[in-house]
Order: sequence, then structure tokens, then C-alpha cells
Amino acid sequence: MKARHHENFITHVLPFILIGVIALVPLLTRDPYLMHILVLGGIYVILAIGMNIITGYCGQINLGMAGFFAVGAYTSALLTTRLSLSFWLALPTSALVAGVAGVLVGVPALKVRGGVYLVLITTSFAGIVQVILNQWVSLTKGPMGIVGIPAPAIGNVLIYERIHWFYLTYAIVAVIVFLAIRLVGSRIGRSFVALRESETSAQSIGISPAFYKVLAFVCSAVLAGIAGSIYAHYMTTISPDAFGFNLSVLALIMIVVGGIGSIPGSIVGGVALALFPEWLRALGPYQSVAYAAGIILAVVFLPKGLLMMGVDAVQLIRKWFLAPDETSEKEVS
Amino acid sequence: MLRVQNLTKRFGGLVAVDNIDLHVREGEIRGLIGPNGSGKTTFFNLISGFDRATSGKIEFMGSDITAGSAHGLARKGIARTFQHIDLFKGMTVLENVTAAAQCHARPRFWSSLLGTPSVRKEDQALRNLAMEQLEFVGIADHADDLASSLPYGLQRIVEITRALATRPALLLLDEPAAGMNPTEKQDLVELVRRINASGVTVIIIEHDMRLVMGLAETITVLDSGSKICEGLPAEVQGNPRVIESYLGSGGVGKKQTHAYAAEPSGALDVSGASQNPAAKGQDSFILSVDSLNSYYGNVRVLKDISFKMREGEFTALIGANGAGKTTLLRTISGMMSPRSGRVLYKGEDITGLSSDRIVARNLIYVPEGRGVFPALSVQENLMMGAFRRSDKEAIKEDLEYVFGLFPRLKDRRNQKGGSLSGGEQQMLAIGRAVMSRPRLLLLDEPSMGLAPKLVDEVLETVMNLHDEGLTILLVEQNARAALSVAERGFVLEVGSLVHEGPAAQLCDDPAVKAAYLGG
Repeated sequence: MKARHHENFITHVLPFILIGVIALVPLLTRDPYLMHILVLGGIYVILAIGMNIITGYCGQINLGMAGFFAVGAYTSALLTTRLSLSFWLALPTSALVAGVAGVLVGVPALKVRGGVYLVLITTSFAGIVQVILNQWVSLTKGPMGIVGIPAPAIGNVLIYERIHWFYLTYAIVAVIVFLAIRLVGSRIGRSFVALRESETSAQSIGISPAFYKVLAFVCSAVLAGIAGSIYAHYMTTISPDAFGFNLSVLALIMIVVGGIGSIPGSIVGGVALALFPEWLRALGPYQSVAYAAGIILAVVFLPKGLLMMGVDAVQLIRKWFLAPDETSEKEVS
Repeated sequence: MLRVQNLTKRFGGLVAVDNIDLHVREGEIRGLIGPNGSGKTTFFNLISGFDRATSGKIEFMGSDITAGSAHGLARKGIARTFQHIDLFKGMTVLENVTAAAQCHARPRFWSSLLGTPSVRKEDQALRNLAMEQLEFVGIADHADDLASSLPYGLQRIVEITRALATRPALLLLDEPAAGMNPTEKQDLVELVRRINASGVTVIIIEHDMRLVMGLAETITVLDSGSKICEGLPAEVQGNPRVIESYLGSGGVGKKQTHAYAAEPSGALDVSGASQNPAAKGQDSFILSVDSLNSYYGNVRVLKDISFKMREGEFTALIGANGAGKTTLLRTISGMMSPRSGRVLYKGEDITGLSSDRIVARNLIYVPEGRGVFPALSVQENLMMGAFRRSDKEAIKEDLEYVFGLFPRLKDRRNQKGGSLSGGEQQMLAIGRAVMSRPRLLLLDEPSMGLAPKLVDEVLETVMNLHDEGLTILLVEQNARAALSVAERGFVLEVGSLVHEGPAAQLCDDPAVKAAYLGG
């Protein structure tokens, strides 16, 4: 019973505590540079949650997140610059278009067995997207990219200051986290995990692998699309080179570092990977070496991810201080 | 309710299921038996949609399901379990069963996302349904346990519960009793009867003859993909073809009494280390285990285990699931390190040595589940056993020796390891171990999942190896068979050695009898 409460806390309460803590940062400092990093962190969190749904929960390795992210970013950028659509219409539209891309990737992905082929399919998808962005100059302006992507407005207030973006991003993150927790806790989430644990057994109890795998692809693509749309409007300028293979790998690292199959872990992973390179900036030319080494160390020594390591540490400390209490409880159960 | 007509399944040139007709009445318990590799599991795969038939027709409750998908058939009312336990390991027991309980529920994406009251009510109903199933089966206490943390026998029960939660009309059980001890088997029989009484038709594949004969009204026997016999248990048991292909004529037990009769009666006493107070000192023991303690995380699996084995001795280690038998073997063979205690091998302390160094000392462990390399050929598998050796001529000789022990392997020397039947894989695993020229052989459950005839064959080979001077430590769930071939026996109970003595004496010990031999 106790374990269940504990579980409940981690899945339902902890994510909002984490977002709450981040939202309080401006009370301490409004340093624009830190705000910038945290906005990127928020965008990463959305990306990480999407990645976690397909890879962490459903067990389908996806190295094409950059592709879905790019589809979202360009859809939003084109709709607002060419058709002068409002951000508030462009955002859901980019989610929708990215979702359609999710179906396009998910359906062929069903045909292959084994993670290696899935890696090939998803990487190729992201590669194709990048080629299209570079080559279809009449639509995307090619390598030049799209500039002057307008700022969103809430009523009469234009969102262009860092601090405004900060609040807007984390408000969206909070909504997404809320929905994602619902999703992974639902029968759909359970079906995802069942497929990850054993596709054979999942089939034997009536779970359709095709339906749920495509659904998981669509969910993760939609989230990447939303993240892309926010990114485009926040940066105001986008070009194809921002959506390379690195970004897809980054999304994978986020969930590995934060915690695979965990929504609060996605929050930790997303923000950590935005902050981490900045902390290393002082190292100058050694920055990227230290960054790579840090990632390797995290993957090797934190198999459960940063978040669960923190949770374990807290439990350990509690055990030390509450030792007699804890043991007596254990004996009762 | 189930009508199978002329069902055939070919894998390349191999005919796995050959023109089978089968008729199962509603409410029946049907037994399906046959040697390993006779096509029983393939037959289940065809009925449950995991494999597509090459030709023939399957009709279930009046509709043609020959081309049905696995998940679709689950929703139509065909549930199954797997020969090798296949639970959702990272989920709790309740989650495992709830995942199955939602079989007939629609996904309801948007409602789930918004958490509407109606979907919440439905979710609660699904959980209640799962809970009811757990209570029906009698494992509600374990609802919040992680599926992978349960002992083997219980995992099998969870798998059956999960299948039940889809509310099937037809339940296919694939060797549900494999790896269970007699008490657990008795509970299983009760459970299957209760499931059947609740209106579920059952088809059960099982090698335990007593169990399947006691449960099923009608038994169908397959051999090499064909139905060779069908009838009442007594009829089937007396059928000469069934005896020849499956049940085997004698059984090791009989040969054993024969073997013992040939030995001088004093031999047993000499072999019992406990009755021979360290007269020759430690050096004469090939293996001596000294207050060994092993843990999995915080769970103490082995508790102060001490025992000794003489060179050339054949010892059986028996005990219930989760008693720590496999852990003991893994600790001795260096696959895991003990928290405390010592393992001496030929007088040398090998505690905590890595497994490759222990193999180099000719102490060979044949793991449960065989661990055959599926993509390598039989011969390549065997050569892997000689991995550390460079004496080409001798290796060749040994290869012939192994082929002599297991002629079936010679016939299949170029076949892939993964394509062998369970029994052949077991032979291959033992053969591979023999290729490393063992002095001490640790065998973990070699009889698991094997047809009675093959169990005899495998154990007979083990006896032959022993006759040639090999020291053997045999771990078995099948306590009766193990004690009938070994000289000495140990009984392990929740991590402690509780009985020890000559095998024949243990066989007669009322306490051992009650707990492990099933009366």
C-alpha cells in the first residue's frame, strides 16, 4: 500500500512540483540569458515527453524527433509569415501536420521487426525532412531559412520579452504534462507498456500492435510538432541546419538522462540538457569534450535516470533518519 | 465449439502440423500431448492467430477464424498462456491483469486524456474486474507485487489469471505445470477445474501425465505433426503407438533399481560425506561450500549453505521453486558473487572468481533453459564448448563422443540450434558442456519441459556420464526422477539446506515425500 502511495506521488505530484520550482526562478533572477536557457529547456521538456511516449513507454526506438520538430516549426512559420495566421491557430495546425507525419512514419515502421530497422526508418525520415527543407527553396527559402516569424499575442499584449516567453512556455508545458500523465496512466498507456514488455503477450490479451504503435508515433510527433512551433516563434528565425540528427539524438539522451518511461523524468532530462552545456561554458574549448563525457557518465552510472537517482537518495536519507519507524512499518506489512 | 479441419502448417520444408482434425465440445477439458517437437505449440499458435495456417480451416463458435489476427481472436474469446512465461515484467500483478481486463474496452483516447467521469468509472470497473480475477484465482495478496519478483510457480498462475481476465470462452494452456512442484501442481489442477466449472472450455498441453490424465476427459496425441490417437485417458495410455513415441517403455526409475542392485550396498554409505567424518581431509573433496550467503538486492537467497562433494559423486539438489537452487549453482559457477562464505574447488578458493576463470578449471554450469546459441549450427554450438581448448585431435574425438551420447544431434549437426526441439536443445547444452571436458558438471533443471520419454533419455545420459567418472551436481524440480538417478541428495528450503542423505533414503523420508514428491 505504501509503495503505491509513493508511486502515486512520483507520477502525479512530483511533475508539478518540478514545474512549480522552475516557475519560481524569476523571483530570484530575471537574468535574460538564464531565461533564454530555461525557455529552450521547456521546449526540450515537450520534446522529451514525446520521445518518452514512443520510446520510453511503447518501447519503439525513434531517432526521427528532429523531423517532427522541423515539420512543426516550418508549418507554424509558414502559416504565420505567408498566410498571416495567428500563432494560436498555427500551433494546433502544426501539431496536426506533425501528427500526420507520425502516421506516415508509424505505418511503415509496423512492417519491420527489431529496433535496428526502426532506427533506420526514423533517421531516414528526419533526413528526408531536412533535405526537403534545404531543396524546396520556393516554399522554405532553402538554407537561408525563414525570418521574421511573428510573436504571438495574448489579447493586446505581444509576447516577445524573455520573461513572457518563459511563462508562456511553462504554461504550455504544464498543460502537456497534465495530459501526458493522464495518457500514460490510462488504458492506452497500459497498452503501450504492455507492447514494450512483450508484444506477443500483448497480442494474446487483445492489444492490437498496429493501432497502438501508430498511436504512440502520432502522440510523440504531435508533441514534437508543438515544441517545434513554439521554437519557431520564440527564435523568430529558423533554418534547416537546426533540425539535424544531433537534435534527434539529444531527445534520446534527454530521456535516458532524465528517466526512461517517466514523465517527471522527462522534465528533469529536458531542463538538464538545456542547462548542462551552459554550465560547461567556462571550460572553453573543452566544453564539448566535458559535455560528451558527462553524458557517457550519466548513462553508465545512472541507469534509472537523474530523477529516480534523486528519489532514491531522498529515500535513503529518510531511511537513515527514520530508521526505527520504517522498519517497524515494514514488519507490519 | 472448436472445429479444426485438415489443418496443415509448413515451415519451409518442415511440416509442423500435418492435416489435423480436431473437435472440441463446449465445456470440455481437452488434453494435448505428444513428444517435444510434435507440433503442439504450433497447433496452439494456429488456433490463437499467432501463426497462419498453410491450409485447412479453423472454426470457432460457428465462425471461420482461420485468418484471424492474434489480438482479434483474443477479443473473440480465445485466450492463451505461453510455454515460456511471458509476463509484462515491469508491471505489477494487478497491472498485468488489468491490461487484459481492458480487452473488450474501447481505447477512448480523448475521454482518457480529459479524464471524464464516464471513463474514470469504466477504468475503475476494469480494475475491479482484474481484482475479481485475482481473488478467483487466489493471488489477490500479490496484486501490488512486481510480476518479475514472484517465484516461478506464481508467475505461471499470474499468466493464467491474465488470460482469464480477457473473459475467454476457450483457454489454451501451454505446459502450465512446467517447473512446478507437486503442491503447486495440485493447486493448478484445482484451479483448472474451477475455471472449467465457470464455463470456460480448456485445451491443455502438458507433459505431466498424471496431471493431464486426471484433468482431461479426452486426450489427443500428436506425433511429428499428426494426430496419432485420441480417446479417454486410459485408452491413450494403453495405446502402443503412444507408448512407443511418447511415454517410453521403461522409465529411468526402473533401470535405476537395476543399477543400484548391481552396486554393493555399502557404496551408498561411502559416498555420503556426512557419514564419513572428514577422514581424508579437505583435499579429497572436489567441491566444498562453506557457509555461503547470497543476496539479490536485499533479499537473502542463500542462508549459510555448507556442503561437500567427493570426486566422482552424483548429487541431486531438490527443492521448491524459489528455494535458491539456481542461485546456488550460479554462485558456485561464478555467475554471481556471494555476500559471504567460501567455495573451494579441488582445495582452491574460487569464491568470486569470474565465470570464465572457473570454466577454465573445468567446472561447467549448464543453465536452466539451456542457453543454446540459436543462430549457430549444432556442430558450431558444440565447438563453442571447446572454446578454451586448442587440442584439435582431441576435440574431434570428443565431438564424436558427444555424437555417440546423443545420436540425434549427429543427424542434425548442420541444423541451427534454435530450430531444435526443447529436448534436443537440452541434449545440445549438455553436449556442449561435455566438450569443455568438465570435472564437475552443474546441471540446472535438464528435464524442464521435456516429454517423459526424453526426460528418461536425458537423465540416462547424465547417468552414463557419471559412470565414466564425472562428478555431477543435478538441480531438479522433478525430485522423484532426480533422486532415482543420483546417489546422494540435498533438499533446499527457502535458502537453507534442510535434508541431506543417500538418495534412496530421501525418497523414503516422509517429510521429503510430502513436500516434493507429491505423496
